[in-house]
Amino acid sequence: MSDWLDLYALEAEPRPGGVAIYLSAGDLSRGLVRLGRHFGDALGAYVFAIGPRSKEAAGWGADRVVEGGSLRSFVEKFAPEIVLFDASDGSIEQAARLGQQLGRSLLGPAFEAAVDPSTRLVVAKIRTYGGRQIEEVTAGEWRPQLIVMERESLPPAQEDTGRRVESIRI
Amino acid sequence: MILVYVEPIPDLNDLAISKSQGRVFERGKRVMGPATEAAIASAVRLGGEQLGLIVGTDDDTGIARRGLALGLNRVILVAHAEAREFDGLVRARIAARMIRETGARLVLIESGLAEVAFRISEATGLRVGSLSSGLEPAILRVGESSTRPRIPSAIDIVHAAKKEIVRRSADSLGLPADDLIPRRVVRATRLVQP
Amino acid sequence: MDWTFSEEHQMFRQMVREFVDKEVKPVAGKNDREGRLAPGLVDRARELGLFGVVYPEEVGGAGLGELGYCLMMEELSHGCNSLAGLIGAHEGLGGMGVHLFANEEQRKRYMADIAAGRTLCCYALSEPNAGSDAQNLQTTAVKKGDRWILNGQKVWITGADTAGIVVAFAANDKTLRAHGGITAFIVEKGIKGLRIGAIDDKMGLRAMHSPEVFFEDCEVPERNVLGKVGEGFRVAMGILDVGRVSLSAACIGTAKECLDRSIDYAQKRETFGKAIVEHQAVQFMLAEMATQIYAMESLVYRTAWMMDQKQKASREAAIAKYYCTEALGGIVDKAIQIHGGMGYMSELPFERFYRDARVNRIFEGTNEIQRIIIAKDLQKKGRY
Repeated sequence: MSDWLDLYALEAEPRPGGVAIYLSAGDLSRGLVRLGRHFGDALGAYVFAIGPRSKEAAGWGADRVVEGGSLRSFVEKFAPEIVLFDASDGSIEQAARLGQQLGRSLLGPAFEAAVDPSTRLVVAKIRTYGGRQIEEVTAGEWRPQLIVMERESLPPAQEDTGRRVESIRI
Repeated sequence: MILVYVEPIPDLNDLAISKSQGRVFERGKRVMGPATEAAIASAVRLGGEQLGLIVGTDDDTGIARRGLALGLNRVILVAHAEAREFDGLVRARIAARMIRETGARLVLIESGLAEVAFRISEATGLRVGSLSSGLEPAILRVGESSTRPRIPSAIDIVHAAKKEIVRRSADSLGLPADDLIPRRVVRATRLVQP
Repeated sequence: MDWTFSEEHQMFRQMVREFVDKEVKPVAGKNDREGRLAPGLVDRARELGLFGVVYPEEVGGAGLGELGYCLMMEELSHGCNSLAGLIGAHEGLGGMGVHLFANEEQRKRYMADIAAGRTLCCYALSEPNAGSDAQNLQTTAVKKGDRWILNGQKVWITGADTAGIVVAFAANDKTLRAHGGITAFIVEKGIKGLRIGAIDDKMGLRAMHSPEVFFEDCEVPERNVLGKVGEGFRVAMGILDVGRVSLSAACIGTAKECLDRSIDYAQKRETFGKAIVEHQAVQFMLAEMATQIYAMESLVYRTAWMMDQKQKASREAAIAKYYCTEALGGIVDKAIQIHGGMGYMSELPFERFYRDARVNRIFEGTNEIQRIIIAKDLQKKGRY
């Protein structure tokens, strides 16, 4: 908890929670970073990039790049509200393992996700019954919200080189 | 002993659509998908004793019989009235409990159920591999094309009627009641316009 | 009253449906055009145990009874009536004769192979001058020592080209006719004096062959008499009762295929600004088809149940055969009408169904004979 406060000591005002983006070793999901950036801006929260390719998120929208440690240790330390994954095999593995460790459901694979700033809830839209029905799902009261996104449904990446990016080591 | 994880799926050929309610209803019973049938065929090919594990409702007996007709020696049906609402979290908890209880060292699961496979791995400590990587203790993901599932013969079906389906209630597994509740809320549904 | 099929029967039906959808329907048109069943199809049916569904487990069958057999025939006929016909000729006719009337020694000798489909059977009753008048058999059986010598000709013997056993009926005494004058025999392929004629060319069921069978001083050992000497007519008629119900079940399958396709087409095809299913003329046709199919199902499965309970059901089998075969003709006709010009084309299966259906009113006893059977039963009982 104290590390979290120390980190925020850099800012004039503390930012609650955070949006974490898991970037697996496969194709870099810059669109996922972009989506995370949208969520972070909507919530006034930091955007953390974590995973084997986290460093590459610098310049694409992340505020903090996390190095070292496990996903679980990051979540326990920084208590993000949202963790975003894409639906690649490597990411689903991490999402599933984290979900099992924390006792959380995965929302997805979603073709669309949006965050409501007033409730800070992500609403994920999932196709069911062979595509005949769409379900809107949320994580309810449970945190963190673990969202898995279909890769082809991610927004286009956008360079964000003017942002100050900090590196965090766990 | 090989355990094959069987997840009942909606029969997409037997759905009703309610425009007024904006949702799809499942008219018939759930079925076994072709990828799971391939997993059973793979298990049968590997030899030894094959046990099927279904997390479903009491209506899923037909799936159990299908598994037996395809070659499983025995099936455990862990039933719960709300099983259709269970997500990967709950299913993995139940599956992990049953894997521990049965002592299974090799678990086969269709490759499309990646989330469940990795969750079970996390819960049991079994590593995840593919069928070709094979050795126990492991959870092996089986693709639909791995082993061509056979259509059970008439004799297989008749023999399946005599094989054992062990029925367990999900509530009786010793898991906390809270463990059977998914951590997600379906807020709304709507139909896809053709 | 529980009208539901057992879980076993439901699973079995589902299995046959899967086989038909995946492996039979894709080749059915070709089977008909080429006049033969696709290579491997009969072997697949054998692997799936379809040649022994009705026979008990103790001889290697599936033990699913007449109900299971009818379900199979219904499902097969969604796809290919020639395949259904070949299986029916073995299981419901030739093989059924051995199953019902063989003595213990014959049962041991033959039933395992018959139930497994390793040896196929055919049923040789009809002759050029003995169709409906089955008692007028001209094929003779003369006893010589420990053998019977058969001479004569049979026609339209389904499966004779592929069968390993011909269940044949011959006159041991032409003067006695049905009452002691006809004997049934198990004639093994390859024995001296048995000859199969050329493959036939006919209107429908073109992938299933019904050639002539010739007996030319054909020597059949004494131990191959099926049932008792002189009781062959009873054997023949007993077999036909079972065969009639399964034939009726086959009519249901084709009828349902026609109806399902017609509903689908009618919901998509538009004329005068709306789907043709909204036109009353089409609605009436669909309703008539559905009504008849419901009646067919009720007749067939009730009669099959009776047979599985070992109840006598000759009249019911005749009623089922008469009604179902007549109804099918009309149902296929309506399906073509609903599909319009497309229904007449070979791309759709209706023209094949139409041609295949016509013989149903003729074989296994013409529908005129069925009405005679029903009427005679009513006369005998003096009431329904």
